[in-house]
Amino acid sequence: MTNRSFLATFLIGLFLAAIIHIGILLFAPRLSVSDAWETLALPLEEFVAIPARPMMPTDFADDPSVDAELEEDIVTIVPMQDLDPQFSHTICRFHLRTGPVHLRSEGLDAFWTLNLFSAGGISFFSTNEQVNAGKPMNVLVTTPQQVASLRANNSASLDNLQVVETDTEDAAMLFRAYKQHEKPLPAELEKLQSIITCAPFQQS
Amino acid sequence: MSSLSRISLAMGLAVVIGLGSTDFFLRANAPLGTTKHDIWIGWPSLGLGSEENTANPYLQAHTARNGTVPLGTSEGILLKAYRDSSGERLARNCLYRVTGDVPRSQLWTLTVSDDIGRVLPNPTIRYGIASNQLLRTPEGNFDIWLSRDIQPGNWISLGDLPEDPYTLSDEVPITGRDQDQSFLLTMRLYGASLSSDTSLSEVGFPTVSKVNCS
Repeated sequence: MTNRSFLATFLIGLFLAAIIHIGILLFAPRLSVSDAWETLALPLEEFVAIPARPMMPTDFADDPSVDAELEEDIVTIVPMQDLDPQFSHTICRFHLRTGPVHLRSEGLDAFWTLNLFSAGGISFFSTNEQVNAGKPMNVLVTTPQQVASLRANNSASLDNLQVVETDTEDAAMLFRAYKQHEKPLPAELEKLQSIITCAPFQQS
Repeated sequence: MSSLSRISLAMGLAVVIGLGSTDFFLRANAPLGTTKHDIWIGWPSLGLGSEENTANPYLQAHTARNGTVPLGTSEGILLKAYRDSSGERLARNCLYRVTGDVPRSQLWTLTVSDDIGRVLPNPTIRYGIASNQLLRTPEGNFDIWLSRDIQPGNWISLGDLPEDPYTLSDEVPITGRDQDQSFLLTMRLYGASLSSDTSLSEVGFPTVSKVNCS
């Protein structure tokens, strides 16, 4: 084989490699069965705040859902990658098809952060306690149309609410709250669950 | 060389390089929008909002593949260290001293896990330490000790016998004092925003020095 034909073969190989590379990249988010949305949010009942916890040695890292099934009888806690063991976590899936959604924390005296994400685990909004001037979470997730009609009808009901506008109809929240005192996880998470509201917005 | 072998060579190259390079960029510790500060590796752009993410198929594919919900821009920054300050892989049978400056944040935590992010079970049921729990010198400095055996002061256990009540299954063996197990150190800077990331390069980061090994 001449050098020239070898070079041509090599270049064709590289060209095809680039096509494979780009193809997988573009389709990975659509085909992935291991993203946070598919494995964590999607199996959850909508509008129910569920505790989440960091991965344990008993978790199968490749398939977190296996562990979720294993634990089903004991308590529903969602294992998630990269969670901070110094924090308590709550995950809740919701949709905006029937109206805006109200996310609220009550009686929580701890540093917290909030992440709203949609399919593929893509974050579209995040905030933390300090950005909120130390106030509890009180967020209204809404489509632009919904908030426009709310404002037209009764703007007073939006007072004190942090309004997050999105075109995403299906989304989930991940709420992280710092554990002030070391406590066994389930107690802390149940407590957390009882103080987190994730429900369709009720106009006052 | 026949044209058939040329075609198979081209196809072989395409598959190996194509799949290999894609896998490389989508792995959990891929050098993707990575920031590196000494031993600390961060992925600040993973937490960007949807518009920025949509513009970058690498970030989108990476988040999807790894099944994480990264810290959002306004939540904070996550940094990982796989090696100590002398460049050696972190090992669970050694004693480490973590000290130095930490970039400004509202709250930070330092946690340990195995290489894929699972906590290391230990009798204390603690897997890390937070900035407001630290014992500090009058000057505000701190030492954090990482080891299997208990240490005075700020100590994070590198795992021990399975006395953790949340190791729920009996079927999965918990390895004991294996000599060569590595671990991962994770620092989360809450309330340190991406916009301040440029200033991250100007501040110091904690050093992790090996004291001894058993």
